[in-house]
Amino acid sequence: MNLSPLSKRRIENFRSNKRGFYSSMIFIFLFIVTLFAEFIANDKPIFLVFDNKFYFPVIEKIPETFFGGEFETESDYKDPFVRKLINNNGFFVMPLIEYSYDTINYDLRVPSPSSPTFENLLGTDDQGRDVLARLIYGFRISVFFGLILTFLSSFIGIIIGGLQGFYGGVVDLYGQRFIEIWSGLPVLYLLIIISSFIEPSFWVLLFIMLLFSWMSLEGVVRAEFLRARNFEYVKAAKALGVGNIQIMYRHILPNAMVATLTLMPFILSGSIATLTSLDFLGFGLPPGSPSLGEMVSQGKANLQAPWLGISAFITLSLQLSLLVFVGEAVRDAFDPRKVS
Amino acid sequence: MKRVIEVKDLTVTFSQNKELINAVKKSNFFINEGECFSIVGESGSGKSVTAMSMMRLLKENSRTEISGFIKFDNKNILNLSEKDLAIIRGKSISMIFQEPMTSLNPLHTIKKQIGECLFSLDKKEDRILELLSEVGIENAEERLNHFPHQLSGGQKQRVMIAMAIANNPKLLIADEPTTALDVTIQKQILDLLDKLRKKFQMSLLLITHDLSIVKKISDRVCVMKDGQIVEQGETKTLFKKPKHPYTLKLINSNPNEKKFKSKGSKIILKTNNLNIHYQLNSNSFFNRKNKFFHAVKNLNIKLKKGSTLGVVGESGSGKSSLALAILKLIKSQGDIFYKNNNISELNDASFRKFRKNIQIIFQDPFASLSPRLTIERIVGEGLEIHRKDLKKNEVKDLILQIIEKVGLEGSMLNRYPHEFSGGQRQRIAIARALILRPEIIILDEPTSALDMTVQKQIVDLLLQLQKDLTLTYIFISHDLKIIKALSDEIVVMRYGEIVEEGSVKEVFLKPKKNYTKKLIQSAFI
Repeated sequence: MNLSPLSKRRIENFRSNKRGFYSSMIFIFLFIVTLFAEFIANDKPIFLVFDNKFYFPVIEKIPETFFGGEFETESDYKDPFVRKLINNNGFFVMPLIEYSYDTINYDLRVPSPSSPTFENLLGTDDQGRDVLARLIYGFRISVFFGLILTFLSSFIGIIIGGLQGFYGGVVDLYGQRFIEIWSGLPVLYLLIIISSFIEPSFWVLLFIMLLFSWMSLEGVVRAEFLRARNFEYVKAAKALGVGNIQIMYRHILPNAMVATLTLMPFILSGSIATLTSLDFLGFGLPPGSPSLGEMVSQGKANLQAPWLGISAFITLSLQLSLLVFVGEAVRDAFDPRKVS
Repeated sequence: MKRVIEVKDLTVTFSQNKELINAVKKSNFFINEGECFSIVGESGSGKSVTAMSMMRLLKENSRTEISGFIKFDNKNILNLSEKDLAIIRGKSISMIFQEPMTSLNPLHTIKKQIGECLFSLDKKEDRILELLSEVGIENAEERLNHFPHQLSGGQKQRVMIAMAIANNPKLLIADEPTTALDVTIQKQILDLLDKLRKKFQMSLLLITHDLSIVKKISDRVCVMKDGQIVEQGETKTLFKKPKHPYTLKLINSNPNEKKFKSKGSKIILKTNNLNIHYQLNSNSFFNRKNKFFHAVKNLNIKLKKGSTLGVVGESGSGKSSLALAILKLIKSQGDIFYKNNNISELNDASFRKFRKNIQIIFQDPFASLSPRLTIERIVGEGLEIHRKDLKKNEVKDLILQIIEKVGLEGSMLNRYPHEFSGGQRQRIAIARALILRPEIIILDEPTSALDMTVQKQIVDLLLQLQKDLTLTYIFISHDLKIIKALSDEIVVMRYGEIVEEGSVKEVFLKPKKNYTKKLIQSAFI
């Protein structure tokens, strides 16, 4: 790869911040692992051999009648009867954790929430669902939510901030006034009101949060564009007849990217924290979906079952601190005055 | 004669990214009582580092190593404790810096800032007033409660000087004290420093890149290059018989005069009652009472094909605004004719096709090249817009041709701007302007950010290019020497108006207006 000396220096700076570098490695590892959550924690076999043919129940639905059972619905692989049917004519391999985020363990000997056992490593929640499985899925959904929200809000923030900063004058004036009013809107009340007449799904929630989160980057980008539009190389490009969009994209945006990239990990951890707190309050993801915030609120409601609160707390704090450490390393990487 | 300070084997080494940089190598010099000693050199020669280490303003740490011996008052400054240093700093040795705009604290009044460096507390105000009148600040009493932003650049530098001489120092270090100032003010400040030196019998260490200043007020001089003192001695003998080739090069770095005559008398560009306003403040959203700063007033200039029009003026005279207005980078009122087209009436889109004919080169080569693009992309950018008909290899050929024309090598195309020196960057900027084969190039102080020897090279290059390609230049500068070397005709501007215009000979030999005379006097000291 042909990297400019500048990017080489940045990568070097990033790596020299050991804590941040290892944090990013751990975070990427966790993210990749949870991406395959269905293959790690599921109530369906990873694969099964039946009649000397391979099947992958994780991705395909196989009715019970297929194995010789009675129901035409999808097979319940936790059912000893179904298991026996499959074993008669082949075999199956279950994932490491035999529960998905919404699998209810009906075989509990104690009332749920039940404490950790070898069957449920971190115990079950108040509906008898496996905590570890819910954590894995919850981690994934919150990182997904954070990444999509960060990406979209940066995209919108950069475009609006760039236009405002580049054109200045009236555009900037009215833009700023609009943002002042817009940022004064109470996001939480809005969410409460909206969730009272539509069920907030992942995408609805994302959309509502996006309406407000783009403003966090807008200010920085606007400032960078305002500064850069009077740079001599921008004037020189104008004198060459380069179009405005080209100038913004080619000459000014790279300047603004430094500020943007530095802020991004913090926006990411911020959006994850927001989602979690909404879930905690009950205005977040629809009931039943695996979410860290819901786990925290269960922990609060069931103080006699500390495994709920503690596992949610450790997952959340690990996730957020990893992101903050990565953010610090990114900031170091883009710091022009940093001497290694 | 008694020596105030003696520097022996001063060596300063910085380590940066595992590389050792010898900023100063084994320097030896001394300064006599009451004399003016100058250190001359180009940027990066180690002259400021030398001055800083004389006051121990450079901290010795893991990245900075200072060794040698600096004898002052029978003590070695390099071995003193911070406590002892505090007594010397500001009292026996004081310093003034290049940039008066940033060396005063914007939040304190003049009184407070000067008072800060006075050790005796009684009659403080009287002493401050005395100092202010000493450095030639009028209405001193009124000025006491003023803040730095209420003073002009020259006045700020005077306040800095007042602070520096407040405790009658034995040695005053002036690090490029006039570089940031206009020529006429430069002269005043130099005269003031010279006067004060004689009056208080202090020694003056002057650090500068400008040989004409040295020639005027310095008794002895030393020339630095790459951290090494290459030559030192009496100013007069050094200028008469320079021994070291580098000294000779510095002395001869005044630009060559234009030798060829520009033919042609066809007028290619002219302005008709050009006015430029800057809106000052519209602080209220609802009640808009706009104030304007009238940067250029009813300006009429004519530009002949193949000739150079020099525009001279001090800062704030509107010369750069004029350049930007011709390029339509800022709004202006009045007419601008390019050949027979009134370009002031065109909108952005329809003016775009004229852009390739009028190009600009800016002052600061460090700021005018996009730091994240390779040289090839910077130079080739204009072709992307105006020559869409070219194929890839034709573009590459053109870029190669032009880059060699300005004296660079084709192998440099894949590098980034920060890998080049100031002079090379200015060549790249010239290549970027030239690649579209413009007829007019506006040069906005193209040499003032460069070292003297590099200045000369760039001026030579510009002259050569004008001859080869029959270019028309508008050359904007505050430096009369370069204007004189390059121009055919001259416009002297002040406060947005033309003070005087005419051919180079007329203006320089027989200036009609007092302001022009003053400018010429200050420039050729």
